[in-house]
Amino acid sequence: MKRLKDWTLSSVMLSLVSLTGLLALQGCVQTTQEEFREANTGIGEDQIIAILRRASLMGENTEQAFIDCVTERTAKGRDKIDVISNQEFIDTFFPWFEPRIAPTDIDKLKDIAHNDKIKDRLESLGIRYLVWIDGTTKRINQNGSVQCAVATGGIPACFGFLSWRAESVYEAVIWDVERSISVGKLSSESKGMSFVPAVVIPIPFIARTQSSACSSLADQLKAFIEDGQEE
Amino acid sequence: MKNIFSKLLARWCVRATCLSAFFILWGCASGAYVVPSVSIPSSLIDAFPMTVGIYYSEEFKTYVYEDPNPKRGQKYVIELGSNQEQVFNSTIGGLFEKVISLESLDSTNVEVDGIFKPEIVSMDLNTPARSGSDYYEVYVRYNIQLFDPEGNELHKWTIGAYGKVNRRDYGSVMERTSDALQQATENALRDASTLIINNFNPRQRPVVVSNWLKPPSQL
Repeated sequence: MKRLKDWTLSSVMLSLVSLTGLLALQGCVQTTQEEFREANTGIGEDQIIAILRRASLMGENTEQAFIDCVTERTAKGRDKIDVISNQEFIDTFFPWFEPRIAPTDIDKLKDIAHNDKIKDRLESLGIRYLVWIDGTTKRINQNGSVQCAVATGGIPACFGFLSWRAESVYEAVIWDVERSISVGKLSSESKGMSFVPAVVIPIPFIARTQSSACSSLADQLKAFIEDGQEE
Repeated sequence: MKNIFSKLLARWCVRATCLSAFFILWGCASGAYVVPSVSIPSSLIDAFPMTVGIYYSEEFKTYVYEDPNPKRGQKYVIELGSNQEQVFNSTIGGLFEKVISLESLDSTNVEVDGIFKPEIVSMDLNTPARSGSDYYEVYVRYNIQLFDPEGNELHKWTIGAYGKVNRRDYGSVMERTSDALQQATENALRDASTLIINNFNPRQRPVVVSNWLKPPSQL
């Protein structure tokens, strides 16, 4: 009888723990993309792009993880483009691209590019495009709660149900350094529902909206730069 | 055999449950102890052909921020002073050809064109738990005095440096508060460096400083 009880408890808990491990079980995610082209594009074999975070002191700041994700995905695959990362770029051009004084439009970039040191470094690194990424992931309509406590016998347990809707909205503005013009704008918007039921163990079903927006934006970016003849 | 397996499984499951609950409960009560260690990159500017001294007071080098209103289990301590010499040596060192650290404000034994004396006036921080926003924020207010070699004050800047990070970069279930505040503090120190350099921009600097500076510069 005891063995049966142990086995039943073990089976139930094993199922719960296994489910916890299956974070890959995702909620449904819906992604939409938009593209606005201002000029034709193209990139030479010895040229690279810089993927930068549009950090503002007062407003929202894009998650570093998102910038890293787009950078990594753009630099991978058959149609990959060489990328200088945000951190490497802002360190190399310190202090000109720090959030406090970074150029906010193409005219301001033209102003600072008059500085010979900046111009020379842009040329020596072969930086053709600056890609400014803006946006965030937000949780909206969060409902319910999960309560955790230590029960009699010293075993902790969680109970409840938590759900929320996540929206990942990101935009990439692309500047052509060589021609000092803005060549276009891309956007990616992913929406999804996440929920965490908890019966002893919380089991998260996370809608990976940020990851979906990242893949979408990176693919769009590669296609935009490489196949970009003006329509 | 099956019995042993069942026992092992049951033990493992209890541990997994404990661990899950521990992680969730931990997020409810976390303070932070931060020692910033930012390294300011070389500045991409033309240095003024001058030699300047910097005097760091003991108070400046050992400045520690302690949360004046700690809540239960949430004590925030930031050892800001420990990183200041690196920040100012790199920043002022990028602006001028030669920088000398001075033991006092008296420059009779050294040949310098001017002396900088920075001090931290105040510091504050904000966390998502307090502000309801998604950001860990750090504010540092400095006074920076510039003296001529005779010890007369030429100018005094007051600068407000600010750094922030998004909470979502520091864990979704269990936020790494110390790491987040460390990065926010380091961002504030980079911002301080940027502000100091920008204060020597021809469009920003006061006439008295322009007159003191030796050209050329392409800031």
